Formats: sequence, structure tokens, C-alpha cells
Amino acid sequence: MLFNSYSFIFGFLPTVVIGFYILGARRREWGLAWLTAASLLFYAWWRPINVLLIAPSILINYGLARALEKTGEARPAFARTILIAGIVFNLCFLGYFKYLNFAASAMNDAFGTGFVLTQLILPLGISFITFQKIAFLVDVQAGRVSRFSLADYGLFVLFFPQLIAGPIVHYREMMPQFRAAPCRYDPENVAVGISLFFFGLAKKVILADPMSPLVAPLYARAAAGGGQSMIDAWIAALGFTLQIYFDFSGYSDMALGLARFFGIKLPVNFNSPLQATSIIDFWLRWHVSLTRFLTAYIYNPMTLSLTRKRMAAGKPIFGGRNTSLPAFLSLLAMPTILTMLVSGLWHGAGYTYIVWGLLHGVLLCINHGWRLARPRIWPDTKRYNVRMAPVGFILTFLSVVAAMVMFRAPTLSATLMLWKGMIGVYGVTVPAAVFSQLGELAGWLSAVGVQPAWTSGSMLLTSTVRIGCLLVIALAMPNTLRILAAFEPALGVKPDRTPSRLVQVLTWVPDTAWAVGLAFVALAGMLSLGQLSEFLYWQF
Amino acid sequence: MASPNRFLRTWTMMLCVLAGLVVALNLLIDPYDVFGTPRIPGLSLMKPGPKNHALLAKTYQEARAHPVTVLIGSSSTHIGVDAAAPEWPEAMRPIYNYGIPGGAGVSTRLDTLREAIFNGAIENAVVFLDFQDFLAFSPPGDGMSEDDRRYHLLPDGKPNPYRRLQVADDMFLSLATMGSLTDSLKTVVFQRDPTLLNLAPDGSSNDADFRNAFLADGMHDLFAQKDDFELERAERLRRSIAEWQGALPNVDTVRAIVALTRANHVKLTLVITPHHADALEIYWRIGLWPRIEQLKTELAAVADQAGGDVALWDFLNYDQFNTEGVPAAGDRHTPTVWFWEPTHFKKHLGAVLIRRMFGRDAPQYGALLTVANVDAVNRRIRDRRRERVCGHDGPELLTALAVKIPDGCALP
Amino acid sequence: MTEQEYLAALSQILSDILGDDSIALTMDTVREDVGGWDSFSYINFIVAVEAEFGVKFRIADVESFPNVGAIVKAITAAPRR
Repeated sequence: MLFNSYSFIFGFLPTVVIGFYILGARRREWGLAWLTAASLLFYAWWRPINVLLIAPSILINYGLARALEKTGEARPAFARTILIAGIVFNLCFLGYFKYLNFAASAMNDAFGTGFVLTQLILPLGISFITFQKIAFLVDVQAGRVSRFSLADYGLFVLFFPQLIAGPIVHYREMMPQFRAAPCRYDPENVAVGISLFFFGLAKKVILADPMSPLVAPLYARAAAGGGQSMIDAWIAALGFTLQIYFDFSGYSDMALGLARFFGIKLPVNFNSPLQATSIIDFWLRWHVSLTRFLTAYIYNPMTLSLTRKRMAAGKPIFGGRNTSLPAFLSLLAMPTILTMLVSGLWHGAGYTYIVWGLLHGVLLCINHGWRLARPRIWPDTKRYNVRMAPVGFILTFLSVVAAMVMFRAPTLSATLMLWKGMIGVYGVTVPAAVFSQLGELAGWLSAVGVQPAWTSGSMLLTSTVRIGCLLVIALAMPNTLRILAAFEPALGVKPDRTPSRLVQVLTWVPDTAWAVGLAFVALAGMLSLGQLSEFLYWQF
Repeated sequence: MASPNRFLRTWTMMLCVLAGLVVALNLLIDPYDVFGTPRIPGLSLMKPGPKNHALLAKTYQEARAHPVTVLIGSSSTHIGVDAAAPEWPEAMRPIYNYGIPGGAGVSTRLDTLREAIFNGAIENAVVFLDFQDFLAFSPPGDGMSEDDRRYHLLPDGKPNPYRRLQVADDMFLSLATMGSLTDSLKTVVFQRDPTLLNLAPDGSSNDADFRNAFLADGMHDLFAQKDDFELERAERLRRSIAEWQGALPNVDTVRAIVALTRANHVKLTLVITPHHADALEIYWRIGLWPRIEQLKTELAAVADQAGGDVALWDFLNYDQFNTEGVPAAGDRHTPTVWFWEPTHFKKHLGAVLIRRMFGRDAPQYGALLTVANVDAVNRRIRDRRRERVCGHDGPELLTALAVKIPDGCALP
Repeated sequence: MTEQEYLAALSQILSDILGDDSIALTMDTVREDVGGWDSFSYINFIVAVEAEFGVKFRIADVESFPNVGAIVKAITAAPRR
């Protein structure tokens, strides 16, 4: 079931929320059991077979976690074995459904082998669920989780607001909340939940979805081997970046809002990433819970063990500005690129995703390298940061937009076509209808090589206006986390110490003005449900 | 004063009021003419809304129109044939134009005809056929489309069980979506705009779209753009039909149209739609003309099998109308008389068609095809082409086109 | 070493890593308070601290230090190698 569907908004959600309040007010366990059952139904809605796939995996994981807990500190070697077995099991589970076909076709590509590809059903949200389960096992082994029952574990894995597209949560931040949540009607939670949910819905169906038909033909043309005019190529790149931005941002807001109906605060997942002033900053704002997971469970253990090994061997380690090149390469560059490679693969089984991950890895390394080696022009870093922020912003923005092309283009060669188009290899054309309206300017334009073409003028106009509006919102507006900061919309969010003028004006309070405003937002969102919708974060 | 409870009350109330207003407005303005709300001058007399929802709008319109004659076709029928034209004989009125813009194929013609016959006492059906539809097989549809679900009957003639749900869906979506709201608002705001597109209750459309394009870009650009498009399409069709040996695609569907009208005692007139010589030249020069002649022969056979009940008119010809010259590039003022662009004729020519087929004192134009005369007609068209295109008094074909494909007078 | 001396030493290490000379850590500092102190540089910081003080943290602890104060406490509590 999609959040942006009639059946979810008018059927599932009200039923589940009201049932939860009624049952939870009697006994907390009933409320939570109801929530778990509803989550299972939510998961089964799209394809009931999914439940048959996910249920055994939950039981096996639970069994392993129990075994880990019992073995505990007494027999660390045995516990380690169980943990590794659990991780391997989960990765195989994910690998079978998500990567088997890709691996086979990659083998066929590379060695000319003839593996037959089979069409497998990808269980919904399997990537998110798998990572969450692995994190749980690691946490149990490390002694960070204690006291859990099958009911707890089931709810943690299946909790529907974050089930199919994140955020990736930790048991230790969720369970205490489930144990303490009021489990009954609480007007503040409902008001905050409604506000977050409908802000998110509006972002998804009003801002993100209409972008899809505007950029789809451009990517299709690139995939068919057609070169794009510079303007079209940029519309493709910017348009898709903004589409996925608002899709994901809207989705994250909806997840926060839905959890809040049950008194639960999910962690931050999306924090105005296009405003980032460096690639490092970008990854601290884009898909925050994934970055957090990858850092904690892949990057950190890898770097820690590599650094310790180097130190034991008496070689120089990471030392700030005095870091040697070999140390930088082996302790920072290599783990970073490997981690981002995993991130790329996690997003999708395909060459484009791999290269996308590698590219971001390289960009991160450049960012880290520059931090270490940059010339010290200004005496203190504060001034440097202020002066260089615009430059950093532009470089980051361009890198992110260019890399996003790879996320949408079906093949690497299509990506290359679009990149070439973006730098003007295939010339610059303007729709003839627009060209003929320009009068004097048309002469000037053709003097610099701009050509008229039979492309749609109204399409160009719609795309440009839309992209312009979305850019202003993404770059200049405070996000929902800031607007609702006083009510802790996501775990750990606090109001700014010195809020900007805009944030002060837009601060959410449960008053009449906001109620009326949000009624408009909610209506606009619900009226837009009956339109073509492309849900991007589905298969990840 | 801020209180979450009050916030929720205000929010809920506001939401209901606003939703009610939206539904009421959409019902009053009826932007797609689904409900048949009376058109209010100054508010909803003109309806531009159906532009991208033609099949939806027209299926509901037709059911309310109770026509005696139904016009079946594609966008060229939709734009070029006026159901209210004075040339129609009284006995054929009222007339409904069920032409569907947007790439409707031969099977859509059969579907819409079946629907019109189901809806009421149709006595005459005029079915316009575009030759391009017979040069490629239609891709197999995957299941029923939304539009298929809307018809009263299934293709096999049995009642359509999905219709109820589809109608409910149509009602809901035309009352409570952002798209219908914006279309309602546009309808009201631009009501007095003289360049506003309108779908009349009889299914005919005004010329606003083409007229606006002409005023903005001039006739030359309209032709040039469509020539490029048609050239691409012709290449595609040539590849798709190159190896094909048997009867042309979709001729069977025409046979089904004939059978349907005979079973329901409907007088059928089949029309091979006129195209500008620009379009014909593209197909000639690309080598598809023999296929077009084959089509005429096959259609004549289909009509003959009906035993004289079915008239088959052929206007795909080189004649005084479709060889009219196109104004030069940069000329944004000179209009054309008969054609908007290579594949869409104007209502002037539509009127000539009506007079020729159903009226009196019509100019010598087109031909009534039969098995007996089809070869002679085909031969005559070749001669006419030689005179008009290869001779010195040929039409001013677009230079751009002439550069793209050579003259080909020796072909085929 | 006093708490203050530890904090000064940690600040120095972090300044080197981030190339930012204005860093002054307190017991309550959390990572979000320091501009650019992302999770990637965090691990480098931890290893540098390990090297400086000759201690070894558990990976589980590394993940869950709530603030700088917790790191200082872990250093003082850890057995010297």
C-alpha cells in the first residue's frame, strides 16, 4: 500500500489509528499487537506472498538474536560465529532477491557466460528491512540491546511508517519509545502528525510527481542514443534531482507524521541536503539514517581495524594536516570509496548505481583531501567557512545534480550522452515557437550558435517554471524539521538557538491560522492523489 | 490562542468546507462535460477542459446527444468535420461528432461506433479512415484500458461488467481532483478569451488550437513541423510493413464495422480521409504508394461484400484542394484555405466533403470506390500526380521536404 | 591529567583533523556542535585519541559515546597498554 493512495489515507490509516487508541487505552500490549498486525497487513497489501518471505526471515533472526543474547559475554568466540552466520544469512536473503539477476548478467557481460536470468519478485522494502535486521544482531552482540521479546522484535521490524522506505532505525532508539508511548489519543501528537503527514503528501504529489512526465521523455531519448540540446540536458538533470528530492523529502515527512500518530518519533532522515556546502555536508543531510548505518557498521569498523593494523606495523597513521599520502589513501580514501560502493549497490542492482556510489566516494575523498591540504589563506577557519561557503555550495550542487543523472538514466551510455549534452556537445537549441517570439534577441542567440528546433515551447516553459519554483523551495525555505522544531518532529530535533527571520515567521503552532493553512495543504494533496504517480524510493 | 484540540477541530471543519466547495464548483462548471450541467454564459459556455480527456468527455456527451447520425474518426474528423454544418441534409440531423483526437486507431473507431449504436437510434454512421492506420499492426493491448471499461458493451457484444465502477471512478475524478479543479478555474477565467478552445455539445471542436499556432508561428512552420513528424512516421511504417505479404493490418476491423452496422440497420459511409499533397508526397517518395493502392483495393472489396449498402468514398487524391501552396517561411499572416497542416483539413474542406457525399451541386472531388473502378481510380491518381507534382504547375512543396527526400517522379 | 588537560589535548587532535584552529571542546560537546565533525572524521579522531593516550576502545563504545565527556571518562577508565 502506498502512503499516497486513497485506500491508505481514507481506509487503512483512520482504522489503524482509531483501533490503536481504543485498544491501547485498555492495555498497551493490545495496542502494540494491533499495530504489528496492521503493519503485516500493510506489507501484505501489495503482494501477499511477501509476508511468506519476510516472516521466516524474522523468525530466524529472532532465534539468532536470542542465541546471541544467551551466549553473551561468556563465550565471545561462539557469539561471533553466530553473528557472522546471521549477517551472512541476511545478506544472502537480500542478495538472492535483489542481486542474483544482476550478478548473472554481469558475469554474462564480462565472460560471455550464458546464465539464464529469472524474474524474481523483489519483496517490498527488503533493503531497508535487511539493514535494520543486521544492525539489530550487531547491537545484541555488542550488548547494546537487552530484554526483547518476539512481539517487540516483530514490531521493530514491521512498524509500517518506516517499513518500506526508511528511515533505517535502531532497536535501542525505537523500543524505549514503544514502551513509554501513551498508546491513546493525544491531540498534540495528532496535530503534529497531521501537519507532518500532509506537508509530506503535498511535497510528494504536488511538487515531485508532476516532474516525472517532464523529464521521462528526455531520459528515454538519451537511452535511445539521442543527443540532447544543452537546455534539455540540464532540464533532465535538474528536473530529476528535484523530483527525487521532493519525493524523498515528502516520503520522510509522511513517515515522521505517521509514526507520530502512535506517539513515536523517528530519527531525522532528510535535512535540506541541496543546501549543503560540501559533499560531506550533503551526506549528513541526505538519507541521514543510511549514512549513519553505513558509517557505524561498515566504515568505522573498517577504518578502526585498518588504523590499528597500520599502527601496530609502525607505519604513520592519520594525523590531520601532516597525514602522509599512503596513510590518506589506505585509511580514508579506500574505506570511503568501498563504503560508498556498498551504498550505490544498496540503492539498486545495476552498473549505474555502482558508478554513482564510486563517484560519490571519490567526491568525498576529494572533499576530505581538500580539508587537509587546502591553502590556509584566512587565519581562522570560521572566516574561511563563511567566505568559501558559496563556492562550496555551487561545487556541491553541481556534483550532486550531475551524479543524479546516473540515478535516473537506465544505462551508463545514456548518462554519458546527457553529461555531454549538459556541457553543450550537442549544441543549444530553443523551441522554434519560443525562438520566433524573441525578436531582436533571436539574432543575438543565433550569433552564439543557438538554433531553433521543433521541440515543444510550452513544455520548456512548464519545465523551467517548475524547476525554478522547486529550487527556491529546496534552497531558500526552512524545512519541516525547522518549522515544527518546537514539537520535536524527529528524534532529537531542537529549536534553533538563533532562528532566522523566515523560521520565526513560519514556526508552527497549533493555532487557527495554521489549521486553515494546513487544511488547504491537505486538500491540495488529497485532490492530487488521483493522478499519475511514480514512487521512486520503492525498490531500494 | 494555540490549542491542539482547537487546531484539529478547525482543520477538520475547514477541510470539509473546502472539499465541499471544490466538488460544488466542479459540478457547476463541469469542465469535461461529463455531467451535462447546463452551460452558463459567461461561466461555462465554452469548454476547453476536454482537450486531453476527449474520449472521456465524448463518451458521456454522445450518450446525452441522441444523434441520428454519428461521425466516427480521429483528430482530423474531430477538427475538420462540423456536426452543425449547414451542408448536412435535414434528414441526417441531429449529428454527433465522435472523432477522437490523439492517435485513435481503427479499433477505437469500432468501439466508439458500437457504443453509439448501443446508446440510441443511430440511422447513419460516417466512418473516417486514415490510411496510416493500415500500414502497421496495432500493438496488442495489455488488458482493458480505462476507456474500454467505460463502454456499455464488451467487444463481443456482452454487457460490460466493469462499467459501473469506471463510471463511479470518472465521476469521482472529475469532481475531486486537482486536475479538474484547475480545469474548472481555467474554464471560468478564460471564458471570454476569444482564442479559447471549445468542445461543443455535439462533439465538434472549434479551431482555437490550430488558429493560435498559426497566429504565433505562421502556416509555414505548422506544415514544416508536421512534415518532419510525418516523415519519421512514414519511415517507421515502411519498416513495419516492408516484409508483410497478406492483407493489410486492420482491414478486418473495417469488416467488423461493416458487419456491426448491417446487423443494426445503420447506413454506413466509409471515408478515406483527405491529406495535403505534402503528406502524400512523403509516402510516395518513401515507396509506400503501392501499399496505399492496395488499401483502396482491399477496402473496395470489403464495401462490395456488403452488397451496395456501404458507400466507400476516397478523397486521398491529388486535386485542387490538397495541392494548395503553403505560405513562405517567415510569413505569419497569410492563411491557407483548405488545410491546417499536412494531415488535418479545415472545416471548409469538411463542408465540401459533406456536400460531395450527401448534398447536391458539389464540385468534382474524390471518387466513390468499387471493386470495378478501383484500378482505374488508382491509375488516374498517378496521372494527376504526374501533372501536378512533376509538371511545372506543381504545388509549392516545402523546400525543406524536397531536400530531405528527392523528388521521386520516376517512382514507384 | 586533569579534565581540562584532557579536553585541551582532544581539542588539539580534532583541530588537526578538521583543519580548524578554533575548536574548543567541553565535556558536554556533542558532534553536531562542531562544524564539519562528520562521522567520517569521527573515527579518525577516535584512533588518533587511542594513539595519543595508548588506550583501546571497544567498537560498541565508539558508536555510543554520547558526548566528549564520555570519551574523557573512557580514557581515564581504560587500562593503559
